[in-house]
Formats: sequence, C-alpha cells, structure tokens
Amino acid sequence: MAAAAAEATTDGGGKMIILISADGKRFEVTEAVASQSQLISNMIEDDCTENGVRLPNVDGDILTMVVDYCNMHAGDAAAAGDTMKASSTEEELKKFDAELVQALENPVLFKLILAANFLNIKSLLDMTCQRVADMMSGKTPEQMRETFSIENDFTPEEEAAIRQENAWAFDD
Amino acid sequence: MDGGGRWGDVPTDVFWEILRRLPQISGRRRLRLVCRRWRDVVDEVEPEVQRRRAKPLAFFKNGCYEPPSAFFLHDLAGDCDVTSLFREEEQEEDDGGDRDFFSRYNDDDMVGSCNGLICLWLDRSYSGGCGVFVLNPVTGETLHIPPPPLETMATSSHRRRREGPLSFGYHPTTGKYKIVHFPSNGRRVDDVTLGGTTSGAAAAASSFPSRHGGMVNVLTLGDGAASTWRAVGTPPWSLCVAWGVVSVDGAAYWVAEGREIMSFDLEHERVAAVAPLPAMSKCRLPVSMAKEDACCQLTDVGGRLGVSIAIHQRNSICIEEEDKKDKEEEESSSSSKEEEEEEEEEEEEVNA
Repeated sequence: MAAAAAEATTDGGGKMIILISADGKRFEVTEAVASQSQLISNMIEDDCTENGVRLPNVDGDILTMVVDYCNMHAGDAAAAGDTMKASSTEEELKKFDAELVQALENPVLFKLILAANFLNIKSLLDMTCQRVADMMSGKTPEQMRETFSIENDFTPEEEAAIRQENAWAFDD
Repeated sequence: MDGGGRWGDVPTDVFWEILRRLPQISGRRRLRLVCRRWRDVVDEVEPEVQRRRAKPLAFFKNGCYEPPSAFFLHDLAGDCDVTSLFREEEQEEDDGGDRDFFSRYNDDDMVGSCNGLICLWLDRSYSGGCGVFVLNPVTGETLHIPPPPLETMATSSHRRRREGPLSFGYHPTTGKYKIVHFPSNGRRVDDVTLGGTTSGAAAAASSFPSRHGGMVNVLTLGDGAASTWRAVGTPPWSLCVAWGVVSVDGAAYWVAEGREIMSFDLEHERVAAVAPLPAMSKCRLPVSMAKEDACCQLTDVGGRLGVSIAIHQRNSICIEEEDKKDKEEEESSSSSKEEEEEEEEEEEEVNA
C-alpha cells in the first residue's frame, strides 16, 4: 500500500485511483473523488484498488459523466470544514447538477442510474431517480411506454383486468 | 452498445427509488398499466395496504355562491402542498326559470371518495345535470349518474332534492364500485312485523319507530349499459342521518336509531348489525340524535371503521377504530406506530 501511495499522488496529496470502464477507458481520480462511491470506498478500505478498479457494468461515456459529477462534488466532503469554500461552490454545484440532469435523456439517463446504483453514489442516484419520477408524473400509461420505449406486453384481457383493479370506474 | 435503455428491466431497488418519489398514489397505480414487469414491481414494493393509504382530501363547500371545490393535501407534516383538483366550471344560465340563484349550490355535497375518485351530489337541474357525479381528478374524467329513483317527486318544480343519504364505496375483492342510496322516505314498518327478521341488535333497535321498509337503491359502476339503479330488498332498517353513512372496506356503515352500527355489505348487498365501537359507550354521547346534533361521525380510519366524537363545546376529538377485525388490525398496527398517528391526524383535519 505504501508503494502505491508513493507512486501516484496529486498536488492535493491524495492517493490516486484508476477506474477502468467496460470498454477499457481509464480514469485517474483522487481517493476523495472515488470514495463518493460507496462501492469504491469499501474497496479502498479493503485495500484492493492497486491495480485499478474494473467496472464491467459501466461504459466509458457513462463513467466520464460519473467522474465529472464526482469531481464536482468532491468539494462537498473535502471542504466540509471550510465554510467559505463550501458556500462559494454551492451555487456552482447546483447549476452543474441542474444542467446535467436536464440534459439527460434516454438511454443515457437509464445507464447513468444503473451506474449510480452499481457504484452506490447516493446523491447521483437521488438526482437521476428524481428526474425519472418527474418524467413519469402526469403521463398516461401509453405516454410512459412511449417515453421509456417500453413494449406493452399485456394481453388485452390482462390489461382489462388491471384497469378493473385500478378501477377508475369509467368506460373507456 | 444496445440502442435504448431497457426501462422495462429496471432493477427493483432502483425502481423503488423512483417509485417513492412519485407524488400521487394514482401515479403509481398508472405505472402498473405500463407493462408486466412494472406491474409486478409496483405490487412487490408496494403491497396493497400501503397502496390503499389515502391522501387527505379537503372538500370545500361554500354553500350558496360558489360551486364546491376539493384539494389533495400532499404532505401534512411538511410544506402542506395543496393541489386543487376539482373546480366545477361555472355554467351559463340558460332557462333557469324560477330557480333561486342564491340557493344554487345549497344541495351540493360530497358523497364520498375512494381510490382517488370523488363522488358528488350536484343539483344542476336547470341544465339537466341533476344527480350523482363521479370525478377522476387525475384524468379529468367525469361520469354522470342519474339520481336514484325517488318515491315522491315534487312535480311543481324541477328541482329534485336528494332524499336520504348516498354512499360511495369500493369492494376490494370484487373490484366494483357501488353507490348506495338509503331512501329516507321509506315506508314505516310496523314493529310487530320485525320479529326475528334480523339479528338481535336489529331487534333491539326495533323499539324505535322510524324504520324503513326494506329496500335500498344500488348502482354498480362500470357495468356499461347495466349501470342503473336497482332496488335491493333488505330487512327493515333505521338510519340516523346525523351520524352519516361511511363507506369502509367494502361496506357502508351507519348508526341506527338505537345506536347500533349497521352495515350494508357491497358484495352480498345485505344489511346487518355489527359490533358496537367501544368509544361510543365510553364517551358521553349527545343525548339527542337529532340532525343538528352532528358532533359524532363515523369515519374511515386507515381503512377501518372509526368514530370521531366531539364532546360538547370542547374541540377534543376522540377517534376510535373498529376492533372486530382483529387479524387485520394486528397486521397493520405492527407495520408502523407512526402510521397510526398520521392517520389520526388526517382524520382530524379533513373529511377524507
């Protein structure tokens, strides 16, 4: 461990970790950035990040977004004690998050959620799930199928039965 | 890379994260209609009991001048986000004739609500729309049901007053909605003819004079053309209007004049007496059960029958739940203590 720490350090002095995406792209991030992922944080504790962390479920494009997100938010934890710094970045962070989440569309949003879930990054999962919930609300089942490219796999009988269960009591 | 994200296969834990952010129960219900997988996941993460937990509904009735309106309260503990869900459109007065404008909305009332549907009684006889209306505030659909057959019709005026309370209920196992009309002008039945027709409780109530000749009017929704009022024969029953008729878990309940609680089961369509609620014997109830004395009310407390009793002038409200369904109660009370408290809170604030 000592050897690994010596060989890769940043100006911040933190240990560097290599993340490797499914398609073989490599991302070098600080421990502080990486440990926003509970999964990687656990790996760091278990001391098994020396040869890089392979993430076979996460594409390079998605991992780029995840790393960007984590880089932006690494300040949160690091600057927790430094109130001046924390408050100065708060607005930027909000702006960053809002832009990120607004830009998300299928299928990137879906993949990002899966990545956030797999890597266990709570704040990112919260944000992306909220985006999906927003996309769902106010939509009819047909519109939801269209939005999320889902095939209606109910038989007409099943659909009728569910409508009955949901029981809107209206003749269609 | 595969083309689209496969939302149909979203992992259950992620789905749950999304689901719990959806504000409305109706929204979650709609997800069940999207595909099999979503239906199964909604059912898995959100068992029936939880799905049935209703949002408080506030129904405002401003008597004469304005049509009634209703609001969902999304969050009692937090921001008290209130969403208006129904406001009747002002209708053009065409040939209103001698109708008194200021009593226009006097008879409007909410019959009940369940599963996000609101059932209203509206008197719009001037526009031919008198009767029962079922609204789905989420989809904006409206269903108009003609008024129940009335024995006495005031022919001099085309105003039809509602005679006797209505009840709007959902029977969970048959999945049917029924509207029940309890005619208040039913024939009086001679006490002698009562002997042995119903349970002991009903017999005990027989000393009270105004029992109604055994029938109620029932209408089943969603039967298409068959959605008409049917007269259903029952044993003679008595009704205390002041306590209201409440629909809980597939049955309508009301208090008979002998203070017995009576029920009308929506599946078998039978009138029966049920075990009294302990609170009703513990609290000092108002002596008179006249209409003005409406300080007791049967209510729905988290899917079970309850009674709220306002004691004299103090604003204390005592709510007690029915204890006859021991099993169900155990299940739900073990689910969460907090939930029980919340439910009571809801009941106090609104008529849900």
